[in-house]
Amino acid sequence: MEFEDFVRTRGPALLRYGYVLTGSGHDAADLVQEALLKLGDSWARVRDKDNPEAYVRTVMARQHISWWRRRRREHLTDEPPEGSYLDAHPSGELWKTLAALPRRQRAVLVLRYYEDLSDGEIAEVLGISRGTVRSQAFRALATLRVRRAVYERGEA
Amino acid sequence: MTTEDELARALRQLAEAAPEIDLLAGVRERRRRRTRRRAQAVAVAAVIAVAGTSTTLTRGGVLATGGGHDAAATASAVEEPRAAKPADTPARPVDEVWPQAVFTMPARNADGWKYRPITGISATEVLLSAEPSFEKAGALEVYDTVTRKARVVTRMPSTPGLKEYIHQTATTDGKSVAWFTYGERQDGSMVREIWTVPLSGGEPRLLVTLTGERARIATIALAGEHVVWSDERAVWRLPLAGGEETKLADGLHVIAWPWAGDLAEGPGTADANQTRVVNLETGEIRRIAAAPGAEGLRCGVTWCSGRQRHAGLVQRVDGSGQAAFREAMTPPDAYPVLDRFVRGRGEVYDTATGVSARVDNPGTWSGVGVSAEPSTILYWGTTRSGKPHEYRVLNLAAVPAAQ
Repeated sequence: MEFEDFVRTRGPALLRYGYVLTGSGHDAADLVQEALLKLGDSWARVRDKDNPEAYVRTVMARQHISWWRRRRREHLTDEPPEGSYLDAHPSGELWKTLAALPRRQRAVLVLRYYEDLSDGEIAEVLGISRGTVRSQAFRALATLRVRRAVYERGEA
Repeated sequence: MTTEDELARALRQLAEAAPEIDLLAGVRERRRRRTRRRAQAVAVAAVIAVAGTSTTLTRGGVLATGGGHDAAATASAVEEPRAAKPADTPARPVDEVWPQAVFTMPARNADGWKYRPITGISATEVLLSAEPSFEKAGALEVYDTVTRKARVVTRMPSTPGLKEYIHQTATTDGKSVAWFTYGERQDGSMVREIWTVPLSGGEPRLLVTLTGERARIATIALAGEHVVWSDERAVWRLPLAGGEETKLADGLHVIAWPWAGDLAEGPGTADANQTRVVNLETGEIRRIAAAPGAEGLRCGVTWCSGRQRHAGLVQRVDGSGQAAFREAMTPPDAYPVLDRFVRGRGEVYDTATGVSARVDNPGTWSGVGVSAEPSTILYWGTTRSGKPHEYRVLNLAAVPAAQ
């Protein structure tokens, strides 16, 4: 496959992944394009030896965390999508809570529940230990649950 | 588990709202820009090699005296006339544009805790948080670029009985520091605290504990004898001496005291344009005349930055001085720093001179300060390592006033 074909066929899926990672259309576009630029540089090697899509997704997850690691205050998110599951539930709140999670916790959740990776695979993608993956996921899940429960009580 | 299934489903549905863009065109454009940038970097390196000695002396002299020698900025102002279109102004390395504003400092304190710069207090002092573990502040310190030493302002207190306790955002007015904390009670309810300490040092004081609806604090500022904060709905004020908070304004959000705007941080505001800047002391209101097609406009008293047709945009509050950025300069949804500088990824644009400075960063990350008001600090590692021993720091408070 040529690089251009790869971008054409896999681009939309990569944008969706970037959107779930960053929570913003603007940042998702930025993240995907930067990762594709990197992929283009090593296309011949990656195409022959590795899986280009896994490569791009790994670059995106790492890049996302490093870009935003020290920038917790500036990163704003888009409006929650309309007409979705989120409307039926009290979860502009879920969207808000996801946005408020530290980047690494959010990335762990996305890799686990959106990408369906095992904790071992997540550890490899993010370059952290399996124990850290578990503790980050635990904290993120705790945050999501606690806040949602509080919100529902308020609604009742 | 239901929760995990629900989360997985929710994430999939979020994904459906992803943007559709021409990725191939975007990647091509980025590659073209990178090639050009590399060519420029080579040219600039050649110039520096020739002028190397004098550059070093100038920088050393400035830092040693803390004086206001601004040969670089003056020369730039002459070369690049005021309000020049940024698109016509290739960025030059920050060491060359503002040598007096860049310095190197240790990345860790005496205890081995990692520094996270907050903001510049003056041209020669930087407020720092020192963190024994990720995003947990252990101490506040001030680094002095003249003596090249840090001093401890205070050890960070914490409140027993609160979980998920995080020192969130700090602010300083040059005399005191104030910050707010996140925490949760055992039942999961939100608690926010506001603390203050003199910059000269001492014991921090807990000013107020906010719970329930009052806990939705978003940002904080110091205003003379008061601390001021905004939540999702209003701006509040509380005497530093203690007492009850009073409401200062409805529907406004503090940017940097005494100025506030009408946009809250949070979902749905990323693309919205700010419509006014309000002086909370005098009540003066400045309406913002947005450029056609502007998105995500964020304004201080004079200058705004935003996006227009997917490129960056600067303009004055009154609508004059509109100029397009190269895409690399597309700013985040952040207010101009000191009502003057606009930050893009790896670049800073100076509205006062029309000059862009570029950060040539050897590593893969760079950070901005985490103060409540737009931080004057950008920093990055001196080496490729993800855990550098030293930071290279740009303090925009040390850039001389434009001529």
